[in-house]
Amino acid sequence: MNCDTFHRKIEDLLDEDCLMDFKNSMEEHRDNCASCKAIYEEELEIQKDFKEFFSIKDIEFKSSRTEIINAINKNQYKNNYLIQIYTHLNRHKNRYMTCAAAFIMLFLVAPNISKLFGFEQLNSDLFKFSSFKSSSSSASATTSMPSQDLAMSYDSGLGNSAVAKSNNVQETNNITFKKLEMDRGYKVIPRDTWKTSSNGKYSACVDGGTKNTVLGIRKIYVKENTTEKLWSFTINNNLDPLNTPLFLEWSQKDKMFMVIVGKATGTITEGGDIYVLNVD
Amino acid sequence: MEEDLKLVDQVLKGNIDSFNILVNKYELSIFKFTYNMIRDKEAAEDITQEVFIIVYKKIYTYNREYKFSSWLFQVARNKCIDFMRKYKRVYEANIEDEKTSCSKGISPEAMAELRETKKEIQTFINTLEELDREILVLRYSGEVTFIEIASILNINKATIKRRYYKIRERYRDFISPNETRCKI
Repeated sequence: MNCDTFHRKIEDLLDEDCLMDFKNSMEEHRDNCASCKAIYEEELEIQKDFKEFFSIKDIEFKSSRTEIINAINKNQYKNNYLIQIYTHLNRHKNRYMTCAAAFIMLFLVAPNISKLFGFEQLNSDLFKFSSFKSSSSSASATTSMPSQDLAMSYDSGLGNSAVAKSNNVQETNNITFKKLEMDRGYKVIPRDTWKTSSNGKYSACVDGGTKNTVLGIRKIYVKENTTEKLWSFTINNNLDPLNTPLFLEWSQKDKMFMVIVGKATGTITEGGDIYVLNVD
Repeated sequence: MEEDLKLVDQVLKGNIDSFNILVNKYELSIFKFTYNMIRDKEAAEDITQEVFIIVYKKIYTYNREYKFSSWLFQVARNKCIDFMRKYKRVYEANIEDEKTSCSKGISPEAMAELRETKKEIQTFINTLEELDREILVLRYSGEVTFIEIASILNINKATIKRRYYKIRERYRDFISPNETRCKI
């Protein structure tokens, strides 16, 4: 212990706010150092003066306990279940808050657990949303697609089975397709091949180009195999002008096929949105 | 602290005797604190009464993480602040009016010196900020620890200690402005 340390810690010694060992060494130094002892005594004197100033020994204190007890409502806490419940909740709030936090975490995490472990299966209701109404009365033969029905899209890998790849179901833009009847004999060069529906009534393809290359805006062509009637489908209210049909596959329902819509430029290896289109 | 918690529990079950015990235990401390805050005996008594009545009414809101006495001092402090704002009184001590019964047996010279010291401290205290004054009052009249002061004033302990030592340093300079303590 030196004088410097003693000066810095003198307040702690006065307030007895230090450990016993430290206090002993401080006291030892004080008793052996005349200047530090003088400082300590001066500080002690100040402390005594303050204590004297704030003491109320000059004041005659009269207890108001009786008045206090008379003034309070003695039945306030008798059989007051609301206050008892409040007190209970207040006392155990940490426990309740922990439980609440655990439930919230569970609620937030549970939907993602299956994704984390890859257990999610294809939603059998995939096609449930695909039915949509057609506006056959429209002069332009535009197929209107109600937002609830067609605003379902599915992330997919291009070139793979669209169904097998559909994982994260999400709501996206409300894209509609414009349906137009083509002249008989109109020559279509399919991008891949014509794909025939399971009952053989219809065939469909995306027109022209080579798979996975720079494409440009494409159309979907659907023909009725018996009558040779041909229709084209183009994206109507395209929010992104570069969106184009890239790939299609018939669903197990004969009048519906799924279209992957992606960018018209560049080579796409994955991504794109799937829309389900009803031929009618 | 455990004892106080048990008494609080009993009060919440409607046991008035437990509240009586709490009043008996803390009434003088609260009175000392309020008196030193406002320096008016009658007002301090009224405030002390009011503090305990409020504490009884709101005892179900008491946070058990803190000491019951700290909560009491907090309520008392708020009441004193309300009083000082209402009557625009800022710690006007009336040393001349204070009884000097305790001074019986002291020589007139010593008594004069005591009065002089009290006047000096009073003048010094009047120069302090409200928070510093509260720290001093709590430390010397409430005789509460720095941790409790920190809890009552809702400031951390280190800040309280720093301010408290600064106040003492300022007081040293105040009483002997020309003396400078040798620095080592």
